[in-house]
Amino acid sequence: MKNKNLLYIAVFSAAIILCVIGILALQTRPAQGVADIYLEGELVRSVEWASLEQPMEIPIGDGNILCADGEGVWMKHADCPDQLCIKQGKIKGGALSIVCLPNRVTVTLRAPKAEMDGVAR
Amino acid sequence: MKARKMVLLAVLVAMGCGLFVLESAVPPIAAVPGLKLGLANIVTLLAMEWFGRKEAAMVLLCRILLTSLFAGQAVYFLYSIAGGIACYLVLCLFRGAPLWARSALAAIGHNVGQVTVAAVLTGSFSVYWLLLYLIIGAIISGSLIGVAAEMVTRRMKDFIKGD
Repeated sequence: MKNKNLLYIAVFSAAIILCVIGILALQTRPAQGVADIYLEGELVRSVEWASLEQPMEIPIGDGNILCADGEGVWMKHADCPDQLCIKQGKIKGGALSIVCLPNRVTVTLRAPKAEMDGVAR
Repeated sequence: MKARKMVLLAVLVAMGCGLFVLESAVPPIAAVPGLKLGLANIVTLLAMEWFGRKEAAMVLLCRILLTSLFAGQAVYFLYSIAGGIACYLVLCLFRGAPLWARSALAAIGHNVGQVTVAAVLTGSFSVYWLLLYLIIGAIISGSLIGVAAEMVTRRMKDFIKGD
């Protein structure tokens, strides 16, 4: 019984450490300048936010308003009760998307496509 | 089913609903969708400990049906039921583990089930990254809830067996 407790404590500690490492690794990823907006699983719009100079409002469906400026994207308005996507704040890199579960909206970031880079250069 | 057992199961369901309402009054700890204490899951654990798999399934289903009515949005039912089923399967799978560890494992199962539904509903697999945050939360809150269930079970042992 005691051994089993120790075994599980070891397994869980290892899992927590792995998760923390994963989260830290994600946060060090460089900024990714394009936001893909998905509504109910379909890509509705891609926004290149990195080059924006003025803040921009992007309505998504009926329930959400996304905001973007040159420093990141964030959810400004959501008509759901939990408001979690707003509390997620501004994102600019990493793998974590802005997710509004009740309205089935996700905003994921990615690097601009290779040919875009070519043009920019 | 004996009246005594039925009443105890009904009390567990009622406790689960009460804990759910209590928990939704607590502001979220961090801005991670799906991160919750999961207090209500203690009743599934207790039903499993005190009676068995069949009774735990009944308590779980009744609780999810009732709390989904409270929550109001149909989509919450999908999340709860997916989380509940995954959590239940893990509980059945790890029968040999100490209760606190089983509880933590079940909490992880719960999160995996819910994130899977979120991935299907939003059509984006990037929500799986949330698991990095959710697993940490599941291990901590799941273990604590499991310890609480152990303590309750120890004190209630004689009462559950009947007088």
